[in-house]
Amino acid sequence: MPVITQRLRVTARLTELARVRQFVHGCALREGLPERETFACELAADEAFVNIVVHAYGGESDGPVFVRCRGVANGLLISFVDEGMAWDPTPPSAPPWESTETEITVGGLGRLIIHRAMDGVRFTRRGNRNILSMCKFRPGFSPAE
Amino acid sequence: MEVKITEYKRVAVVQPVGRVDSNTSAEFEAELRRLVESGRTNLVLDLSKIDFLSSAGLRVIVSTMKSTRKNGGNVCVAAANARAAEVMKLAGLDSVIDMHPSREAAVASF
Repeated sequence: MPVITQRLRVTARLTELARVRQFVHGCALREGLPERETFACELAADEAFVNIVVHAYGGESDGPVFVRCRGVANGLLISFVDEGMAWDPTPPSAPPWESTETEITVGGLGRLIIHRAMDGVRFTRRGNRNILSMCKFRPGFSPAE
Repeated sequence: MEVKITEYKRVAVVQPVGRVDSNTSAEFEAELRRLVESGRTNLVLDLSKIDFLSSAGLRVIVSTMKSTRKNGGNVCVAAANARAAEVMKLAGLDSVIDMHPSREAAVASF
């Protein structure tokens, strides 16, 4: 069966957030992922896009964000590519609930959710591009098998 | 997103309806801040009608929890649907905020 990659190009504006979520949601459903895994992909896509807008582009801009989804036998691969500044996708070691500040730092929580919602997350900087790759396995699949 | 508020003698119940994400969290936050500033520091968040909750919404919930506790009150969650409960669990927030199965149970906890 041929591997189909579905693509979406948007600008780094929060008005595109719903479109990005809907795109990933649709891809996950087409690949036959169950509701829980589909939601995890949608959630991670939301957080990834917001991190790109805030950290890679430093706020809303006309900079491009390319979203790609590719179904594989074991699940769904999602990648986000942007042309902004390099940003650190490392999640905080623990939820920031212990902070004594009233406000919680933007970004850390989103990155934590990305790492916990998805089964694999990888970030690379290639040339002037950030590439965030995430995968979600179908239920019952273990990469160690 | 719409925010429905029901005020009781000791507690206010806040029910966001729709999506709470980076585009709508400011509206949610403004409603909660207005309540806290008017002296309503015991809040129940009814998450039964929420379609989508991202970290932007969680940040609002936590900052509200902190400001109510600072003023002798608290925030708890009621009737979280499967999606909202999943996000709270992923973020570890379910161990920080009391979660009740129903709005009645949450109101009675104050």
